[in-house]
Amino acid sequence: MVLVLIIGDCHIPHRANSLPPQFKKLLVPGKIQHILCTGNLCSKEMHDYLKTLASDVHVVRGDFDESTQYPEQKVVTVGQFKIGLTHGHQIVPWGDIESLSLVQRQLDVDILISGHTHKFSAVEKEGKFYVNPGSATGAYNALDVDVVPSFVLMDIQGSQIVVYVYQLYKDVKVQKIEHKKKT
Amino acid sequence: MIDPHKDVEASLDLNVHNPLSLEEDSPWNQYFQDGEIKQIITQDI
Repeated sequence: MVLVLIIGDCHIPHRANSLPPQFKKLLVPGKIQHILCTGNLCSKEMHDYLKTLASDVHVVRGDFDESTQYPEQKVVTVGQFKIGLTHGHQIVPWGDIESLSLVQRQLDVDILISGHTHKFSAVEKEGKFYVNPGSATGAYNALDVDVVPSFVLMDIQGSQIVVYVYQLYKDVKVQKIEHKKKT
Repeated sequence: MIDPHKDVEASLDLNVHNPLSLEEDSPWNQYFQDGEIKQIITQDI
């Protein structure tokens, strides 16, 4: 059993000053093995914070990330799954499933993770899985000011994935989505 | 050791039954606590 945290689009300190305290309470060290971050952390402090939660942190570069160390795209293998990671501002129209599936084929991955829209989504298309964790701070984006803070936790067991979605309305609401790899 | 996946009930309250849950009666919480104890035991041996 592997727990993978998917989080991103924090925009700290530009659009939010910190993660919501309700989320911070849930995110404790020792549970999560890998962190995949869709970028736009915007500060080194945020990267250091993620490092305290798990030692294996992968970050891709968002359009507001100043650090040039982060790559544009990344492919990470966890168990039986090949996971592609990209921020998503390069993919037009933003968050469009057809454009995303183009990247999925380019990277040849089972799961494609992208962000930028600040809106959670998890879609299965032709046996491939597309996850967008939304914005962890609920920062506004270019098209929308009403953003629900959210992040995603994936529980990977063999060829099966259980996706837990944490969304912050008044309290944290948890949703569960299951996905199975087609062989 | 508790397997948090085995607990398959139809009407699970996801606010309790999720891996990051802080509730005392969550099988996940139990699972992580057991893991810690197991680690200490292997250290001692």
